[in-house]
Amino acid sequence: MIFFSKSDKVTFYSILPLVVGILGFFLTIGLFTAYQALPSFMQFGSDLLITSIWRPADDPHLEAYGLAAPFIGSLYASTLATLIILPLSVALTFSITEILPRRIGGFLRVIIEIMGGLPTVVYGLWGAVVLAPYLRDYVMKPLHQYLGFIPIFSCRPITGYSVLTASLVLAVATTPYVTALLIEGYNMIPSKYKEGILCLGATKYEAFKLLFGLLKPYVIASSLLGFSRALGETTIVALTIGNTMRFTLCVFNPTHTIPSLIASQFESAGLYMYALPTLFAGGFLLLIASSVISYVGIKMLYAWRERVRV
Amino acid sequence: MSAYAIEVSNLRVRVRGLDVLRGVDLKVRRNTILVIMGPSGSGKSTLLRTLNRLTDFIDGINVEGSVVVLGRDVFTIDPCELRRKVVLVSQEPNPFPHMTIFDNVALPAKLNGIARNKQELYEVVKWALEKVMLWDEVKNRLRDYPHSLSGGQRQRLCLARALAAKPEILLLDEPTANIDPSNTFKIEESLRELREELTIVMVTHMPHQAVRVADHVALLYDGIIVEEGPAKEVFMNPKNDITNKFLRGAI
Amino acid sequence: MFRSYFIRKLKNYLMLSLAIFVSVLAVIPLFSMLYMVIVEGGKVLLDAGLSFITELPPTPLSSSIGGVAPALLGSVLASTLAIAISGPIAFLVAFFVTEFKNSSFSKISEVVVRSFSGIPSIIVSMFVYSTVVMRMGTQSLFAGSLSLAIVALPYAYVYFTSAMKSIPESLREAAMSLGMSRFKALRYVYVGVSKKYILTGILMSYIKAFGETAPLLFTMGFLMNSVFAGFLQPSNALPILVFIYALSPYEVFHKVAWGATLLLIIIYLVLFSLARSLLKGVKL
Repeated sequence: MIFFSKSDKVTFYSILPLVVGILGFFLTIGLFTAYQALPSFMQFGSDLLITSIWRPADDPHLEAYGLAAPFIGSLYASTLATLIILPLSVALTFSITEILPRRIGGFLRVIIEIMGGLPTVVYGLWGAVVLAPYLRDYVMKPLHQYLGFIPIFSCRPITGYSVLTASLVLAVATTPYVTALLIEGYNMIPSKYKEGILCLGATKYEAFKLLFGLLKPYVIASSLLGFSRALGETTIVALTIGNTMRFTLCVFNPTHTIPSLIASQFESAGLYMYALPTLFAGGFLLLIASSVISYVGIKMLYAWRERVRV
Repeated sequence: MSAYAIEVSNLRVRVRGLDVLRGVDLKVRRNTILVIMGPSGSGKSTLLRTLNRLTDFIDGINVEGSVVVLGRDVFTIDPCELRRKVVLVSQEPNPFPHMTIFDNVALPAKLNGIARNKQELYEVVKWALEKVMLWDEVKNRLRDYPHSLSGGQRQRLCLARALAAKPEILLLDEPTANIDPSNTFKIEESLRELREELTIVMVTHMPHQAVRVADHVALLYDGIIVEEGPAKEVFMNPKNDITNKFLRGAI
Repeated sequence: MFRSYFIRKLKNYLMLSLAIFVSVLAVIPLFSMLYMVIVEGGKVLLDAGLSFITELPPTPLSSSIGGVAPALLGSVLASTLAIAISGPIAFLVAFFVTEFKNSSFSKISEVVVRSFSGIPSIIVSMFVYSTVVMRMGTQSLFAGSLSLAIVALPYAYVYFTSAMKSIPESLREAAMSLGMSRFKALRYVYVGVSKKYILTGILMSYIKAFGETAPLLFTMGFLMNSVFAGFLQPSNALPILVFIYALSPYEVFHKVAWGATLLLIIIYLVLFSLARSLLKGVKL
């Protein structure tokens, strides 16, 4: 470090403890969650991951918990959400960057920004009050009636609170974030490519398709980040998924995700011996999943940015 | 005290594996103007920036050799201290946009402890702006922001800002490259006068500018100084073939 | 030749229309939400008037709507406190990471802090509950603010790093070549040059904190019988009030939730347009 001036060194070493402290603090949150989860892992072992049961009892011997349903529910809802996010955000990116006149595109961008920052509880409320009954009457019922032989449509929609509703609201709420990432990436493509392609007489759609092809790793990375967001979202899911401890692959059924389970059970969990550790176990699994996915996504974004800069 | 303000010997600089300077030797006498000429990409800017260690901020740079400035090895003294005495003016005018014209010039004077009170500060600012012949143009709007100035005025403001730090050496990286003739003339005029007070090293790719201001010139080509000497000698009768070509505009 | 050109053109128009159609589909929910909240919440706000922001929440069977004073005050205080805690930390870390970018600490922090913005905020809520709330014996405004601060930190960090990156290289060189240390450059040049970005970052993080529900769920408490009970006592916040009242079975609570949602959206939109108008004025 011969390149540091003395005063810069002082600055470096005065802020360093703070930086290390923050890193340590983040690590502490992870370790603490793991530590709190330990009793549950020890007591239930692999049952925690393969059974779906929530049975608190005053007598610890009678307690039984299994997180398979909410864990699968989390993955399921987030995957569905990501599958909806992709076409939405790609279409938005295309519209904003290439199709719409600058002013209208800019206006659309502002709307997307507004949606991106809107408190999630508003989305949740909208999902519960407007979307759930609407979906039930106009989407779920017909689908069930005519396509009920397909397993994911096989169950009868009852309340509208379901995997489908939750995924859809999650998708609507996360699309702005993914769109912002995609637009950022798309604008990073050097303009010489764009000019070259348009010079060849390509139509707008062909040009976008070609350029977007260059963006493939970036799109995957953005989807991972969107997925990770959806995975951790609590408010929206708790208000729309129906909060039922039940393993299901049918999208019309209510179920739980890990965050919705935590949100609905945490307050009373302290009364039982293993309930709280089990919620921490769920939290820990979620934490690992979402940090690994975020990490991979961010690394991929950086790798792509490095590549495109040269 | 050495008669030389700057003594560079066998300076080699590599940036990410690429040779930029390949063994440069250079001496600059106090209170003279040295103009380093050379085509673009010859390593002029890098050479200039090693003199006050602005090269520290270039990623993947590797500097070898000895650079002694004002009698001290630049690699052992504190770079901030060094840069307070050896100030660089960049090619693009870069006044601080959030500060008034007055504050732009006053800041280095304040930081370097040149002025202790408001009156002294005003004097220093006035002195620096007069030196670059900007005082008459801006004295009634010292509270304005630099974006109200023309490009040439901004560059002179940057020169004044550098002077207000009261440096012993002034480094100029093509200061007139993007500036109209009348402002260029004013800057060159200021430099001739400033020579009385400090040592100046200027980089340019335009031979005629060197003719107008230089005491000494050096021609840098592909990381090596191919010729140096008193300006008149070099211009009247260049010994090196490359110098000859450069002066004729063939490189 | 001509035919294939025609087909390409046709495909182009079809895809363009499809993209615009899907884009419109993606933003319809916003208008649906605004419509719903303005209609439902508007009735409540008009009905309750100014007392909606000064009164205490109703009891389940009361006939008057009451107000959301504890939640409004709690939200404002907790978000302010959260940004006061995490803002300076995030700023210093962002400064460190951009200025000493070659240090391995910076490289690690950059990725870790950014990844942390994707971490489920409910876990932060659990963490603060188990460490702070359990120890203090009560949920509190303080615990809620702490929880929000942890969640807002990575956001503020992202905004502050882009503020630092917005500083043109030429001005960095100007500062450095005058012999400023990096800290002096920060103080005299960087902050001044990027102050609008910094302000926007503060405002956007504040907005983020203001709208968060999950971090407050187990930490903030649910104060209803007084407007303010103290920093170390339970408080309330608009998002959790909406969340809890929306899930409750009582009609009057639903009404309050609608009113609170409208209030939340109004505050959000005002702060958002403030942040935008700030950035619009940025020029160098």
